[in-house]
Amino acid sequence: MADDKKYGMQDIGKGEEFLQAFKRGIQFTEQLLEENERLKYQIIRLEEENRAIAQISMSHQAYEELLSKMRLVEEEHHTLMARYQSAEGESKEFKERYEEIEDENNRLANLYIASYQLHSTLDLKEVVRICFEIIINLVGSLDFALFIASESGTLVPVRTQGRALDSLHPVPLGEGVIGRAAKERMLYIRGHKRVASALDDPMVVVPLIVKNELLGMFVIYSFLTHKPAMTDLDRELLNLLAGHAGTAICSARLHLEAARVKFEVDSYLRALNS
Amino acid sequence: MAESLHALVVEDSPTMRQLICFALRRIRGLDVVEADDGVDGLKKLSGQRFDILITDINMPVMDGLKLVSLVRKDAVHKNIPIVIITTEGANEDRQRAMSLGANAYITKPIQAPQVIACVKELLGMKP
Repeated sequence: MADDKKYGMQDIGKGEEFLQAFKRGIQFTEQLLEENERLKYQIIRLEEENRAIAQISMSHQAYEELLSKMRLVEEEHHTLMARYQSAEGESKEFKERYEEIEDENNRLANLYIASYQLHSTLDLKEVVRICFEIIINLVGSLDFALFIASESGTLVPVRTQGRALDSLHPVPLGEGVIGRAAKERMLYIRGHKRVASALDDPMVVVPLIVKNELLGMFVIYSFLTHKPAMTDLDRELLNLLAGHAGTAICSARLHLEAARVKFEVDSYLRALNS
Repeated sequence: MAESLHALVVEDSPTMRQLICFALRRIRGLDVVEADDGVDGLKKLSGQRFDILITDINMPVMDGLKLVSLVRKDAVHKNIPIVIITTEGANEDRQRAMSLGANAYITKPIQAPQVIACVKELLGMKP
């Protein structure tokens, strides 16, 4: 009886052990199933990735096409950049040219206006007034004088701007800067100092020449202080004055003299056909 | 096509007037009218509407200062931009003109680009 009990207890112990082992087996199996699920999911994911990769590798031709398109776009970009740079250069060149033309236009306008005004009248007083206007408004001076050559050759001041007439004295031909410029019949421009000058050291001397004869001269003592420097246009205006102002003054003087003489058609014909 | 703007140039010196008008006539869409002095200027202002006035100060009959003060009292032109042309050293005249209502001044000897730039700015045109 005691043995039976002993065996019975042993059987129970074994049964328990078996049950535990079985339970562990179930757990293990469940873990395996979970792992299996995870692996199945991973396989699906990898297959999808694989398909995507396969698709990419399958469109290798498209990839090549894309690459060549990119190259074309890049080439086009370079071409456009080169054209843009060339156009930019051209535009800069046009701008510079335009500015040059503008300057030229302004220069010609000033010369045209000066010339037009000088020959717009035969009134001596008006001609001299226009000469003064040109020097004031176009050249830019408020300090100058007009000298007229006398028969003896002395240069006599006859009209001034910015100075009293009696403050100036007659200048013998060939004497000092003014007299030498008059004798040589050359435009004189002082190359140094812009400050107001002494009577015998003017900024500019403009001999007025008619057919190689000295009629007189404009003597500019100083320029307006805000005038930065003598420009090419100023030189051209002074040269224009040297040539045209002399002619205009001479014409006005002759007109004044001729007004006293009856100048009929026959006189014109004689003068033109002689 | 846009309607033209009108400029009145009042200057007694024919040389200066020709020079200013030459510069202004290069502005596209700007019609330029000339007057010999202040009285002539007023006469022209009463005859048509102008968009800008350019005037010298020293003129016979009526000077630029009187013209500026009269224009600023005129019902039609009281707000018109006014540019005065002055000579160097005429600071008092310039200040007087500015206090009477001038908008800008240009000092002689004038340069065409300077006139064009000044007028374009006052008319709100592209430089």
